[in-house]
Amino acid sequence: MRFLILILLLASCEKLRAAEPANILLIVTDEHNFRTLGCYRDYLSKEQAEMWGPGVIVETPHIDRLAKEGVICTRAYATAPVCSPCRAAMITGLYPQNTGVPTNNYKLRTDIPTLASVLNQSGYRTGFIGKWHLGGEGKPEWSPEIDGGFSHKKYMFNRGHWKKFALTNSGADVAARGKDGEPSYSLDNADEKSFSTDFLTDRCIDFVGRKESEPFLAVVSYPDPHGPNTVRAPYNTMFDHLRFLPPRTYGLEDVIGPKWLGGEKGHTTFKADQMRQYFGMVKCLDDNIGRLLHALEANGKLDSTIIMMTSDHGDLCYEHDRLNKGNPYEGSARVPMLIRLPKKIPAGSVYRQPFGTVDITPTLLHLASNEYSVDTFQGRDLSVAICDEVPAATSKHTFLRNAGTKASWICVVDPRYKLILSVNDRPWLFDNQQDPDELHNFFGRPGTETVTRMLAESLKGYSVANDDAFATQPTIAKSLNLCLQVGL
Amino acid sequence: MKLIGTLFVLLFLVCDAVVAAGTVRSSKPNVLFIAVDDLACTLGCYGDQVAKTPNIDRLAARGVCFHRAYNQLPLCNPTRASLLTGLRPDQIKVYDLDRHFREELPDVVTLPQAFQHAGYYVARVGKIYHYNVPASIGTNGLDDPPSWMHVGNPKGRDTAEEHLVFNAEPNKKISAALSWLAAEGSDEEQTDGMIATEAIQLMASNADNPFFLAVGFFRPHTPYIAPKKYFDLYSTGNLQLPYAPQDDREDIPIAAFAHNCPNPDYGLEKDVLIQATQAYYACVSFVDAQVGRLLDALDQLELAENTVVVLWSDHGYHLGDHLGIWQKRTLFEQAARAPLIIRAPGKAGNGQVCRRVVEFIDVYPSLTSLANIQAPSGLPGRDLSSLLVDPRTQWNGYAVTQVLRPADGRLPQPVMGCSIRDHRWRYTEWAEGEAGVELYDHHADPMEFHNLAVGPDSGNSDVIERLRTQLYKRASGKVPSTPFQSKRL
Repeated sequence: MRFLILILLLASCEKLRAAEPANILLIVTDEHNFRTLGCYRDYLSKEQAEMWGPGVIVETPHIDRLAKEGVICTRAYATAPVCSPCRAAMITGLYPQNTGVPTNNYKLRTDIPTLASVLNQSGYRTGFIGKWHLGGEGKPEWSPEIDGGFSHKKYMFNRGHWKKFALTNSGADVAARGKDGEPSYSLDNADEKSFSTDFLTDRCIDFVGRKESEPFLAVVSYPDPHGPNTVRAPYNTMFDHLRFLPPRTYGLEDVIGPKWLGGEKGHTTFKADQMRQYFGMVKCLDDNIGRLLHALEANGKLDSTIIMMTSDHGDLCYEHDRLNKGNPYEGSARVPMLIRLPKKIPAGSVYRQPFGTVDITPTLLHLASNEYSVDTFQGRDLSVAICDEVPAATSKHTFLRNAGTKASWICVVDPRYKLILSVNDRPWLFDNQQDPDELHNFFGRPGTETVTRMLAESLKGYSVANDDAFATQPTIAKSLNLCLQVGL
Repeated sequence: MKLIGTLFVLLFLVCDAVVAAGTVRSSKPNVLFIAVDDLACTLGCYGDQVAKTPNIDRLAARGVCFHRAYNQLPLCNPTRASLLTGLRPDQIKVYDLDRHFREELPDVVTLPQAFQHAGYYVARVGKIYHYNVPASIGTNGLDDPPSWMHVGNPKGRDTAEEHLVFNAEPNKKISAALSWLAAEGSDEEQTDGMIATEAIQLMASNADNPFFLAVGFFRPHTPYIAPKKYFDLYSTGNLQLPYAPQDDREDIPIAAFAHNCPNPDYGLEKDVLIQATQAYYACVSFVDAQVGRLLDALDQLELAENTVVVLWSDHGYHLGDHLGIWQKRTLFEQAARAPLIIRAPGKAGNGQVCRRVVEFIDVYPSLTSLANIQAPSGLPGRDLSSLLVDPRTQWNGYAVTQVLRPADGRLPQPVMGCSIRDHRWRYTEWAEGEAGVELYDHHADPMEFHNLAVGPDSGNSDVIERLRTQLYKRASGKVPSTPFQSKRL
């Protein structure tokens, strides 16, 4: 009996504490291949996990901790796999075509709510540290004019992949300079204080550690591991002992690639040293995320903070003969997505349903408090679904589109398949179960008719509900009709 | 005017002569032709996690590393005879350890002969054609005298210390048995160390001639003898036997298993097999160090810029695959595939991996092409030059590997096995299919665990049909009518 009372007491305390507004820490990396994270490798076959050769891996214990103590989303995608449009979707909960930022270097609409503006109204202090890329052309443009409503933007810069920063009287600046005195991407002997990843982490630790009583929203947005592939010592030589090989899908013969890739098949020459540096950047990020978690732990805020780690898109890292992103291949479009909030999310949860970066804002808001209305967002609130490991109540799919003002492709993803409709090819259907390398088009194969129709229905519904004009481009519209009727 | 015209003509002639001289110089690169015995793709540059092979890795980093190169018959004598004549086993009728290719083709022009005809200094040190190892070390073995202007046959302390060798299978000779010795003394006292020393001397004394220098190492062939320090590179605690599903052998035809390894793992205990694995890797690192000495010498003699380096192993090797296959004589990927690295100065593809399917018979026309010399007409191999420029050039390669099985307790008749590999599939027939067929999809099954030729679906039947057509263009599939020694297959 006494035991029961204790449990009831504890339960009510839990409830009370849950009512306190949660802090939010959103960690965003740039151009990050999910296979470089240990927690993702755990859910892949050996061939898929060790893409750059047997045993060629970078350990990421700190990022893995978020997965162990929270939820790992194994089918999370960049809503548009290019920087600005993905970030616009991330921060507004709207699809890129409705944010003013369909592609890079456009300005975010100022008349739509953002994650920051909503939280400002609830008394949060909202800070953005690092690369923003939603303010137009400015480079680096510290404290950019278009700021999405973030109240603390001293260490926010619009764009660029700088490697070395320094504090100034007004805030920060790029510390590496070219011969002309202009800011440069050069590493310039950056150290553990000035290297971009370390510098931004220090600023974020300061921000989340401040004594103010109000809750915080902190976004730390690292420019790494996007190129240039350089990193400070000792990370620059940490992977010299590994023997990097080109990925399984590199340099294949007789594979008829999809035309939506655009242009001739790239003949990017595999350079092991580029991968060594890439791994070094990832390792440096992981160590810094470790510092960040440690700082939250030290000031007692770790468990009262929603921590999300993601990226704006992937980097093919020579998969399919390519670098960078921009297409719906896994290496390009898939992103890490880890969320930790012990009060709500059971440790070790695995969310295998589609998650789009457009779903981030409504999900974070509802994790913070059920009070927020999330109806105006186009992204889904997945705050309950990720805890219960069930599909979202609204739609079971997520949707991707190319970056740009003109249609090139649109894509719908379910837990197993990916359907891609493009302006220059027949529909493509990838089956992640039978063909995780994404070398074969399963469209039209016996047995795929039903799933194709379901995906097409869903894509049609998405395009109407979210004003995606790409779906009305004649070739795409024709493909969509074909898919809607396949097998009937 | 006439005088000026004559002067111009003279000037042109002189210019031409200068250009021609320059061309002659650059079109006659040296060739350093390195053969290794029984070396699988157990090298860092092939993605092996265990191997410590910094020197061969360095060669690969400066040349083109062929990740899908296949020998034509995974046994010393036949594969070497095939590569050096540029002809397939069915053309030279060499299937066993004793028959010489000149019994079938007395006047064939070998690769070294082609270089002799082009004015090269052509020499051999160590094992290039077949030798019985270790019995024939220090002799000419089953050599081909017309191939060489000079030969060197060093004999090191390894041959004097055979009584110290541990033999895991005392009922067999150390030439065939898993056997090893962590030797005292230096690299230079071992036969392979002496081979490197002698080769370096030959390079130095012939630096002014175009040379074709063939350097053949005897290790990692059994007995696995290497200086002790190379054993220390590998801790037995870190070594594993390869994985295979418990039912792996159920869909593999009997003929597919090597006739001299009928019992899985020779019936040896796991700890003995792990020690054998350690000894094998020790020998790999020992040979790697000798290759490093050759590469260093090329740099020191300032010959690297004008020397084509090619490194190959006579065939692949099993270290316990498919629940206990060891050594060679199979048509599985591990035996059919073998290292091939070519560093030709100035080629745009240097530093890259090539994943096109190539054959060992391609080496002959490639080297003659790189040296711009005449190759005999009608060679079946293909010139790899375009892959040295762009390793991803469209290639449509097929590789055929075969092996002859004697009649024994398992097989009532001798059986010819023939296997064809393309960029995705391996298809194998035993006795033209009478004694079994195998189909493996390397996209899905790189370890060849699932034989898709057992009850194939229609898609797989199409693949088999296509590959069979290509296979019979390259091998007859028949047991030869020429004599062969059953005990020496």
